[in-house]
This record gives sequence, C-alpha cells and structure tokens, in this order.
Amino acid sequence: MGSDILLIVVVGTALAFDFTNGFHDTANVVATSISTRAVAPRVAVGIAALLNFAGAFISLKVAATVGKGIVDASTITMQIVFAGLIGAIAWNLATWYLGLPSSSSHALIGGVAGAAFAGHGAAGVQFDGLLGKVLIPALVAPLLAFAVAGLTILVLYRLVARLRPGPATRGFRLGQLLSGGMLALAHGTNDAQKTMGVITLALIAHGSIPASGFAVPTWVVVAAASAIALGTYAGGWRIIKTMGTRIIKMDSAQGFSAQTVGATVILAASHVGFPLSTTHVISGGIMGAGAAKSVSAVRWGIAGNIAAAWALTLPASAAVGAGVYGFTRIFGSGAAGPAIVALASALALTAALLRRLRQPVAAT
Amino acid sequence: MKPIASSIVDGHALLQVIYVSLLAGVGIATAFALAVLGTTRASESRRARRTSATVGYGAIALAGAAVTSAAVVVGLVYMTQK
Repeated sequence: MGSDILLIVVVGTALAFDFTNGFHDTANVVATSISTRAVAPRVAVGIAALLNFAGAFISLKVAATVGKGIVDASTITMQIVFAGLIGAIAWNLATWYLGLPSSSSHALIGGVAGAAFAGHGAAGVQFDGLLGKVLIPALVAPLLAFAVAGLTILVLYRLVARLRPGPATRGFRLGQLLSGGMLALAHGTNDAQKTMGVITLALIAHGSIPASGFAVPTWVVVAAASAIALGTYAGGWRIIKTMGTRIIKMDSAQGFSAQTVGATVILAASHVGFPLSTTHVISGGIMGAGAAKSVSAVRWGIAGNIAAAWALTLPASAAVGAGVYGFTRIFGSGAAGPAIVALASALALTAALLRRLRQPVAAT
Repeated sequence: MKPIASSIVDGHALLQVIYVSLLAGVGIATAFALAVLGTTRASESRRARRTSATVGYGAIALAGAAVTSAAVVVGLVYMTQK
C-alpha cells in the first residue's frame, strides 16, 4: 500500500515536472517567431504544443537513460527521484518568475544529483559525468550557437541586401515557421523522454514492470506527451518576452538565423551523441545574430543575468533536491515524507495562483 | 596513459558537433536565403519580361528550396534514429 502511494506521488510529480518543462521551454520554440510577427502568439504556442505532443512519439530510445553516467543507478530510490523532481520544478518556477531561460534538463540532473548526494554522500554522484555531460556542454552550446548564428546572419544580410524589405521579410518569416516546427518536434522527442524515463524507473523500482527487457508502457508515453504539450500551450510568457524582445530587438532574418542554427546545432549534437541544452543553444543563437549586426544591439546586462542563471542551475536545484530528500527522510523511507512535500507544494502553488488571479491587471 | 580530459569529454564527438553545426547551420540558412532571393528576383524578372533572368533566378530558387527540403527530411530521419 505504502509503495503504491509513493509510486502515485512520484508519477504525479514527474508529470508536474514535465508540465513545467513544457511551459518553461515554450520560449525556445516560439519566442523568435512571435517577436518577428511570423505567427500570432496563441497560434504559435498551439502549433508548438501539437508538435511537442507528436515529437514525444517519434523515439523512445533514450527514455531509459535518464541520469546515466551522472548518478550511481544502483543507489537510486523513489525518494531520491521525487526529491530531484521537486528540485527541478522549484528551479523551473523560480527562473520562470524571473523571466530567465534556463535548462530544465540541467535542473533535473542537478536535483537528482543533490538528492543522491544527500542520500549516499559523494559516492552517489559521478562527478566526471557531471563535468562531461552537463558543465562542458553548457559552455559549448551557447558559444557554438553564438558563432554559427553570427556567421549565418552576416551571409544572409549580404545575400538579401538589395532585395526589397517586404519579400525578404515574408520569406524569412516562412522559414521561421519551418525551423520552429523542427525545433518543437525535436524538443518533444528529447524532453518528454526524460519524464518517460523517470516514470519508467519508478515503475521498475515498484516492481510493476521488469528491470530487464522492458518497454516504456503506452500510458506513460501518452501521459508524458500530454503533460509537455499542455505545458507548452500554457506558455511561459515571461521567458518568451525575455528571449523574443529583451536580449535583442530582432528582425525576421535574425529570428530565422537564430532558430535555424538552433535546430541544426541541436540535431547535429544529438546525432553524434553530444546532447546540448535547447535553451542554451537558442539563447546563444539570438545573442550571436544580434552581436553580428552590432555588438551594442545585444543587451549584455540581460545576457549576463541569463548566464548567471545557467551557472546557478545545477547547484541551486541540487540544494533543493538535497533539502527535500533530507526532509522526507525524517518521516522514514515510506510514502509519508514525499506525500507531505507534494501536498504542501501543491497547496503553496494553488495559493500563489489564486493570489495572482485576485490581483488587478496592471496597465502596461 | 589516457589523458583525464579525454576520459571526461568525447573530444571526437565535440569536434564533429562543431564542424557539422558550422557547415549545416550556415549551409541550410544560406540555401533558404537563396530560395528567397531567387523567388523574389524571378518574380521581378517575369514582370519585366526578361525570360533568361526569370529562368536563372527560378533555378536558384528551386535549388535553394530543394536543399532546404532535403535538410528537413534529414532532420526528421535523425530524430527517429535517436
């Protein structure tokens, strides 16, 4: 009975994380298209949600590799997974509130690593894996996208310099629909699988499915795809505003450049087995497309805040994950601790939402 | 002895990511821009009744669109193979 409740709590929390992953990362896919008026905001998030949903069904091959090489898999319990998810959700909500794009994947890894550290000490975490799979890719992704998007926009400006602005703008807006669609599909494929992996791990730990030769159950795929699509449709408008208008004031060629380079870098990296964060790539691409036109076109203060959020993602989510794990252990190894934390979190979020709904809409 | 850095980071994969991203990123965006350029110029040439220019720019537009379409298909195949 206790393990059944714990399983339900972990599955519910994993789907909540998937939802925050969706609305946090909506900006990666739609911000540039909305900013350049390639597509209306609600239509953009609707298309992105549908493509995220479809993308979740494209491949299931990496669903079982969550946390591989970063934490010692033999020491992972459902409490650790739960605490890691809460750490990631907390970081996603905090950065969304501040309007800062940050990596949901890194937040999940940080949360689980922090909880594993609290549970088993340094032996529970593979620090080489953290360096190779999180920290170095976090440096490579924005710098690579910055350089490629910068070079691309210089080539594009040269090519279309003598065209009338109207046809060129319409053309690049069409291109943005194409590259945005590819990004949304890739995001659904990559990110929904993380949640599928977490739920599958919990089902294995519970004994509901065998540890060897298992397949991700269909209901898990449908639930994860639905949660990320609903989150995407909800739209993280604060982050969309930051990425679409606050880093640079972009034209359609810059938006096309950032988005196309973003999709290309993510797919190329994913194909050679060097996965990069979508958020880091798109943010770097936007900055590169702006800086190539004029260095002063980039609001470096905003860019600095975003970089600071990236640097803090791992330690902050790890600290929350460790704290939550420590708290749940006060109530033993059963379902009581996670159930209390899940209930308290749900109540706090509902109260915050109600308070916000009661506030009068400020004129902008 | 294997250097520590190479055991942490797959240097070969990293280099591949850099050059594939550079070639494909710049290449695909350029192909699409050529499609935009070709379509616009072909349309202007057709209105000015310049047949050879219309055919030339039309060919550029078609080539750009073909490369872009092929890139989309390759991207979809990559996604399914992950």
